[in-house]
Amino acid sequence: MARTAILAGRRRSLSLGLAIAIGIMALLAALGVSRASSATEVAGGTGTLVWAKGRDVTALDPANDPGVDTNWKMFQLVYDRLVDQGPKLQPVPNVATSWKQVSPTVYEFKIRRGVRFSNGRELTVRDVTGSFRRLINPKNTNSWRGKAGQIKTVRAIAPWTVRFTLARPHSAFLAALMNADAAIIPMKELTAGTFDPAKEMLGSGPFKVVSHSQDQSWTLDGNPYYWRGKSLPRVAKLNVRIMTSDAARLAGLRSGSVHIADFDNPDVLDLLKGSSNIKVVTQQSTNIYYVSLNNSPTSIFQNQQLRRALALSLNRRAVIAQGLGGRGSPTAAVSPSYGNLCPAGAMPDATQNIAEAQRLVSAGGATGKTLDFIAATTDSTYLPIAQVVAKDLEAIGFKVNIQTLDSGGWTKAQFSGPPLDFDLSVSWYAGSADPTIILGNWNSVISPWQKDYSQSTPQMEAVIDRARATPPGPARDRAIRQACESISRAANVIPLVTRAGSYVAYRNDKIRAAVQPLEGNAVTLRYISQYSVR
Amino acid sequence: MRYLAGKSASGVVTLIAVTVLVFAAMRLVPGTYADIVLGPYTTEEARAAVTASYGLDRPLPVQYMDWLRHIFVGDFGVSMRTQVPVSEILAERLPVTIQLTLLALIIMLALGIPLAIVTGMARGRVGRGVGRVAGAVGMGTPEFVSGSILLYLFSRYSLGLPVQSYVPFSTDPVASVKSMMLPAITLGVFGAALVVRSGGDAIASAFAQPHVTAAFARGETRLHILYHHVMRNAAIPLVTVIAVTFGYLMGGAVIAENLFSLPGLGQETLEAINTRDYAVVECIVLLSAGLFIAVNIAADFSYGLFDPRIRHRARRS
Repeated sequence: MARTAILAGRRRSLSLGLAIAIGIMALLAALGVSRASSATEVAGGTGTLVWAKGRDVTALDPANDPGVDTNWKMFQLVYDRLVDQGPKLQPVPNVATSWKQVSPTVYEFKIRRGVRFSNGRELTVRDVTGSFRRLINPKNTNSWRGKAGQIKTVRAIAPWTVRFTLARPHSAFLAALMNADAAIIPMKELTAGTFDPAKEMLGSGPFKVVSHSQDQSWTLDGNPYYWRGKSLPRVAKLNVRIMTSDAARLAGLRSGSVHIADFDNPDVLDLLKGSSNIKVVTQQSTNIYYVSLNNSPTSIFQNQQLRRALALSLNRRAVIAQGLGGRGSPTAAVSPSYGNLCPAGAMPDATQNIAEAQRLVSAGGATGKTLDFIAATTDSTYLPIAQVVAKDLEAIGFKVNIQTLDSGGWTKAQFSGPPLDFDLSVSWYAGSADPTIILGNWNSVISPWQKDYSQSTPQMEAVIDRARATPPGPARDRAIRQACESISRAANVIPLVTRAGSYVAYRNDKIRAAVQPLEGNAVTLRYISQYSVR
Repeated sequence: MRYLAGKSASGVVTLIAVTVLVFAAMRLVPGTYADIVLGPYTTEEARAAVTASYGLDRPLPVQYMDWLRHIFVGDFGVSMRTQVPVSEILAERLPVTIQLTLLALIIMLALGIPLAIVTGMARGRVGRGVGRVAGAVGMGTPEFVSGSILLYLFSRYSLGLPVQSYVPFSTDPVASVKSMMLPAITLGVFGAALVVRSGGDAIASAFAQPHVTAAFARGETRLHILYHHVMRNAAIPLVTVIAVTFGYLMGGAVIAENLFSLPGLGQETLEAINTRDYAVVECIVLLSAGLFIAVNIAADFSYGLFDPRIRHRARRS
């Protein structure tokens, strides 16, 4: 009797177990065959635009921005600048309705009335002067100061007029004001302690931040007080989803859960071929890739002839063809996007000459030496570029050890020395909206972070200074050309090839978007406030 | 009780070793928090100021003991990157990873056990061979490969499951489960393959035991024999595999969450490592190690439930 009861109990357990297993499998099956979930829950007239972004911000405060384009893209959504970048990289009015250059070192800006922060308060000259005083305060760390030249004073000279006085003439001053770091923040709230720019963003730009989950997402609503009018931004809500994986962003686009995404990787052009509802735009820019050589006292590249050998070994066409999928062009320090100021082929040592490079390496006693070539993982193009350059170096007698490092490891190896732990590195500079801004990267006073590995000569710094100080015109163009030649001859931070601003892909069946074809300040979706959901 | 005390004590020792390892590993990785947050375009003085502001300029043993002291009183610290307490990050992210891990575990068992039974009961070489090949393929395919394939197929074609559309469980449980199916399948397939391989062998081996032959001789049905004589004997290796795979699932969550953009602990760990957010990484690793140890202790105890001999041996000792 007892045995029968036990058996019956076991049978019941078996039945129960089987039922659970069948239930789970049925659930899985049901989920698998059910109708495709609408991955576009945000579309369909809801007025929500979804942008998949590859990296989140590393700083919220423009005055303490380490100069990272991923931050600029978010600043642009929330903050306004005095002047904006036009389609040909020219300055156009923004918060400043007009400006005039009173003397080579003095600029005056008329401030627009009726511009309001997203909390409803009207922007005043005090917000402008206070924001720029923070930016130039040495206690704050940003790379913008180098772009802006030496601002001596910023003060209000009338209720709606602000005067900037520079220590010396700087022809790219207006272009520097277009950079997203030159943001106008609400100083009254900051002073009152109700706004902390390190922890939040509050501006007069097209969007206001509703929520932010670091490395996950941003939710932004249209700024109800946006001065450009009630019709902008054209979407009620902007969701920014941080998707670090290219595959994830591509899948989001294909499924429709993402409307627009930007990429560094030129392969997306091929990967999205055949997707009729996805438009891919290659945004041109003034940015350039470069290879930097460790020129610190213990490095073999103290020998200028070895640096020259390296410059002569470079096959820029191969870098473009094999490293960048055929997209780009050889460049000097100033991108060809600025016209023919610095023709790449005309620069000293810019044409590949393997025999001469081999001779120099041999004469320098460096044949067979191993070079540590670091490539950061933050940009998918660095490694393929390093691989192509490594082949050139091996052809002239070096051995090359490529190391991929994350952002922290790369910064440590190249910048947090001494001692520095690299021989070569690949990266890119934002070309900005004026050709003389990028030249500042080769000047140790303007860009002191390079001083440990890059030794610029007084002659090179002088010619760069001259280019920056000369007003636009033939004299400046000549100075720029001389600076490019000087940089090429020094062969310390060697310009390589142009870098596309970005590869932007969007669902043209779900949104209306027009991506600007040329970008100087790495703000890929500059006109996002004009995008609308179909 | 003595057994439990012994296991718990060894678990605590393991956890202390984990604290030393994770603390040392994070400090050995090149690049500091200051390097990340300030980037390359800054000065040595600014880096030193940031380092000092978080007490990272103190000697490492002092930092370690300080961290340990705080952990003991339940203070996991604050994320340097977001200024959010680590406990809040855990409260937000842990449920996502637990949901993913449980779903993957269900998939692993729902697929793995029936296939293990089929493989174990297969008499011919072909049947077992097919099971073994399927198991080898499942185990040999890294989750970033299987995940990428699923991601492409389900985003390119409308196959019934959403892609990149995470829904919190509290908002809509059904939609939430659906949104997690693809990452869970990505994770679960490896475990299922492991169960098929190990479970199939264990079941086949149990079928070869003399008491099973005797049961066949008594005329008992195959299903009856499977349930009463085989599964209990095969359960111990299966439970061992499941317990070990739990650790794999938690590790694999890093890749699955990144690929499918799930806001779980895996993705948080990856970002925290990339930004040298020490408190976050150390706490998540410690928590994962603790969970893994707990699951393994539970697995050890479950052996007694399946095999009375272990239970009696434990009582006698």
